[in-house]
Amino acid sequence: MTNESRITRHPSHASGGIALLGAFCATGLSTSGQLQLTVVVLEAIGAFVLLGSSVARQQGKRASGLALLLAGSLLVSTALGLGAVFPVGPIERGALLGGLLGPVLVLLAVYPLRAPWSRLLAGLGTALLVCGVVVRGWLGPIGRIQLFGAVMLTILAWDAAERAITLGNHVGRGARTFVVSITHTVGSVAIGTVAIIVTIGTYRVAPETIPLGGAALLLGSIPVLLLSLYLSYLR
Amino acid sequence: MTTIERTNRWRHAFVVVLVTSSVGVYTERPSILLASIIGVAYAAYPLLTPKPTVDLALSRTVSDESPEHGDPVRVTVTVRNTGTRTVADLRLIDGVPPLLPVTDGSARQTATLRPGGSATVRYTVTAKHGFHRFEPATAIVHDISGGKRIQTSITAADASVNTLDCSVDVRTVRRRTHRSGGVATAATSGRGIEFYQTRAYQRGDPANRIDWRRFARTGELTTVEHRAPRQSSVVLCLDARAKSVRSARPNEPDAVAYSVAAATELLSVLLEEGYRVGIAVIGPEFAWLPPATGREHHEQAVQLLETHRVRGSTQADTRRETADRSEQLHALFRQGDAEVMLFTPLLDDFGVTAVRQCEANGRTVTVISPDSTTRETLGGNLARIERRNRVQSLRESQIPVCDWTPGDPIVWTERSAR
Repeated sequence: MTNESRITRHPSHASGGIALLGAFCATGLSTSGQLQLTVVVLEAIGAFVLLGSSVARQQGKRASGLALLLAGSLLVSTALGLGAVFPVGPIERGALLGGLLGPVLVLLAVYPLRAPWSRLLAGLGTALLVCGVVVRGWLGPIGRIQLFGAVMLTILAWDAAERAITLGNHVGRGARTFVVSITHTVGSVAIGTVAIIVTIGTYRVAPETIPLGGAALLLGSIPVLLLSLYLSYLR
Repeated sequence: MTTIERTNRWRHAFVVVLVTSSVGVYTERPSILLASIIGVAYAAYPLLTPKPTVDLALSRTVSDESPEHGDPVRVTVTVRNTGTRTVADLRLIDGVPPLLPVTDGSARQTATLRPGGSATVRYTVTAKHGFHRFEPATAIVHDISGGKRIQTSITAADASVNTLDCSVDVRTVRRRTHRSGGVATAATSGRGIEFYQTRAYQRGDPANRIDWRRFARTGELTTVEHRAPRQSSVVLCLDARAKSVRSARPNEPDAVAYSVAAATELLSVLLEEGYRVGIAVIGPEFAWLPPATGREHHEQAVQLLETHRVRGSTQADTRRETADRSEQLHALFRQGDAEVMLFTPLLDDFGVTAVRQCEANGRTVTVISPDSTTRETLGGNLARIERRNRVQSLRESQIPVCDWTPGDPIVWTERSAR
């Protein structure tokens, strides 16, 4: 018998919320048109209602928890349904559906029905988000800054979901984790912002004049740089 | 112990790099290809951040160091960053004594600490019988990227509170034998004051032991011998079998923990009264500390008892114990003729059998039985009735049984006294 039995080892609320926010912002950035954005907003509302049902259930309010669960499920299902029927082509439909399913999986990762599934669901959700963003970038309906922002936010969502899981394992869902979560997020956003600025700067150099093969070679040199950094880190 | 490790979590960013660069090259979209830079930046993130440092000082205070059983005790833990760098992500887990349930707040907290900054963790535990020691707190520190992790133990500062003493009230214990204290007389001659015998004088006998009146009367030299004083011995026998590791509720200490608390308290009382006290533990392994006195012996006995307080049990232990049980009792009977005080929850027939065997071997035996049954479940009720029958059965055999409900003082009622 130990006091450990009282710890709820589920992902922490603060980082979980940040992960959800990041995932929905990534999907929102990669949409084109008012209607698609409305569908994403509808799903986001549904997801946060589901989040409210989880909180209500924790507080012992079973009836309101059930009502919120039904309302949230209805909104998310409606948004997914609209995402499935609204886009014109199958590729765009797939991209939007991927973008809509990604945050749902992230939601299930940070508020899991089964704790061991958290990491798997976070990974799957991130993969769907990345696929959705890249396909939308390929189809061309979104600008490059939107694309870079969506990629950054996708990685940020995955990072926050992972952090929520480790925080939950270490200190439990009941502990205060807001400050630590924000500190980490500020660091991650700062790195992402610098990376986006560098990327935009590189793009503005005049990408048309740079052969794609040369750019690929440049990217290929990056692992060498990382390896040298890693070796110095080991020392 | 301090462990430093890399979490390697940002390696997953390479998957994003792989996807974006591949799709970018294949579809000849520079923007998608350049999006790889973002993934690369995140992959390099932990390599650019310095290693986290753990220069932390911890202090702990409690609202009551000697609480009564069941009292809430407020624990306040303060951790301070004594280093020169900010600790971005500190996860602190205080070393709450294993048998004390946290009833309010959490002993686990996170904090971001600037140099000289501090964070406070407050929680409440419910005091349970026994001497409880706080363990060192565990600090898990990540760097800001989450790429490196240091885990270490932090011991509280010297002025901090590291123990809670929730003692069992044994003032009213009336023992069945040796009510005059721990000194009895032996059937051998020695340095006592009670007459034992006279014998013929032998060269070297002290002059003050010669019976001079008899010498004056008969002319024979005789020596008077006195009976040697001997301290009474008591063996505190602990039933620490897997079957006795049972508690009334999930967050309650088990019967063995309560037995250890009571035995520790009685050990001190008996040693103070002049008894020679030994310890026998019947459990996964037989542990034996021969009766003796003195401060060092007291410490050894407490240490032996403590090792069985939070010991877990396994199925394998249970199987082995069944075979070893009689052997362990016989091992106890081979260790002299001391009185036995048996601490057992009487949750099975072992206690009754042990008492019968003690009596058969000519030992005086007393039973102290902490009640770890509950009325809240059907099974608990059945166990309670069976236990009550065992207590009754022993009392009918004129065995003193102290039916002890934790939280109450240990006392022999008139009904339980022989």
